[in-house]
Amino acid sequence: MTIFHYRPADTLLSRMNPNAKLVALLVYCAVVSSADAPLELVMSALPALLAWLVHLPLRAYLRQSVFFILMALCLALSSWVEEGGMIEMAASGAGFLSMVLSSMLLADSTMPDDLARSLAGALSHVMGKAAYGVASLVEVTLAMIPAIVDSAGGLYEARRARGASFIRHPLSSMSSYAAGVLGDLLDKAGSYADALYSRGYDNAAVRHRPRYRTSDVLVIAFSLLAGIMFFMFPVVAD
Amino acid sequence: MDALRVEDVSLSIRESGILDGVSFSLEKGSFSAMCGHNGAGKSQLLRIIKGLARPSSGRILLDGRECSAKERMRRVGLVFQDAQMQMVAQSVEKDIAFGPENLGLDRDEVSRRVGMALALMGLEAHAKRRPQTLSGGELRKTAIAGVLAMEPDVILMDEPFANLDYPSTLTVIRSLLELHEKGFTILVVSHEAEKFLSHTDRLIVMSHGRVVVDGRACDEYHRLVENDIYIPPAASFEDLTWLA
Ligand SMILES: Nc1ncnc2c1ncn2[C@@H]1O[C@H](COP(=O)(O)OP(=O)(O)OP(=O)(O)O)[C@@H](O)[C@H]1O
Ligand SMILES: [Mg+2]
Repeated sequence: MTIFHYRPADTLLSRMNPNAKLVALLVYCAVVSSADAPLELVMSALPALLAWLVHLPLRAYLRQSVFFILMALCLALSSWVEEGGMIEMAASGAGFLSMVLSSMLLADSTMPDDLARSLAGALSHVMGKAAYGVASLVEVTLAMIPAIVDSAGGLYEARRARGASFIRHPLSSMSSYAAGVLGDLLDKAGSYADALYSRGYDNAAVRHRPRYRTSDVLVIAFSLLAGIMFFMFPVVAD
Repeated sequence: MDALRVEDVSLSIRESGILDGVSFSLEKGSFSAMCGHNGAGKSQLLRIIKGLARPSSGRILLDGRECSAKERMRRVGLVFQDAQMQMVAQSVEKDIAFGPENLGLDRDEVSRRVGMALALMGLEAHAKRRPQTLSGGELRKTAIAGVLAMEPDVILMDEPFANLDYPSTLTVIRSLLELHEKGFTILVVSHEAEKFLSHTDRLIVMSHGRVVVDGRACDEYHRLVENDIYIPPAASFEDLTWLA
């Protein structure tokens, strides 16, 4: 399992419209990063609660999260040096971690191509059809990545199996490997293009995007409202 | 009426001849096999029929009428040899929907076709899975389903048994028979005649860019050996299948 990856599951988050999740995430991060310490601390609990609700396999992600945890510790330490309070220290560490966790929640519950599609749907009101073109480009590129990674791994192993030593001859073996990967990539791109065109690929075609449900509309409205309230009336934060 | 007619198609790439005056036709609803040694020109011919490549000369007719490459792109379905390279989406279901969406169909029609293709290929249980997690046979069936969902008049398959183990080969043969029963016009390109030939009604053999055999499969199958295609020695026509 990899962190920041989609994990098929039937949870309340995965059923939500990607745009609603994105809006909620953005507003949440904006508010948390500019709230004062007590509010920040309270709000940090929110993603943790959600993660618990959707059974996010945090334990499995722990090793991959070491970097973020170290970052949080550094942040906490520097805010302790600067401001001196225990609450400030806890809040800045927890705030950072909660933002990481909430983006993990988004990635965990959203297929990247769904996100591209629904973003395009929203952006098309501003950019017109070009938005769909960009989205479908993102989509087909995403689909091609596993094949590329796979074959790059395969080429590497094939070379090792035939005695290529990347340690003894780093330069020559790396450059021959890179040339191999590049050649394979061009080859793959050719057959991938064939496959796309043979299925009528048209990057301007209007693609069906995830629908909005009442709950999605409510989440968007609530997030926007909360954001506006927070930034327009600083009293709320006091 | 012939669903597909190839007339005197030639192709040369940089002076070297790859196809040399290829002609044949496929009857509507027929199930035909095309065999030929490695490098005989089968894949290039399929790309030309589909409209992905232009022949140096010759014509392609669908239902008795010459068709532009653009029209063939829509009406001819091509399943490529490498199924993995055909996956364009993050789930089986979305991959199958890709073609119909490109045709500009509305949401209901797209989901009807996806449902139809999933059912025909027996993939309902895998609808939500990521293509990367499928087995070779399931991947091949997904690729076929993606082509079926575009409801093509003619289905071309390039080496549908390549890289498949025994059970997966059987599943693909069974799906081919089912499609044949449903009335699709099918051309299977393969050099593995012993796996499926007994189910076909036509046999076309290519060698060095030419059609060297073209006739009823049951009459012509013994000419495979002389054209470098393996069939088990002393096999009768009925033996040429992996289906028991
Ligand atoms: N882009 C190209 N440039 C030059 N020659 C090519 C090109 N593509 C294919 N050929 C040649 O065309 C001939 C026919 O190739 P094709 O791929 O159609 O063979 P095939 O019958 O499908 O063989 P296989 O059974 O190996 O798939 C081969 O001799 C090949 O070397
Ligand atoms: Mg070939």
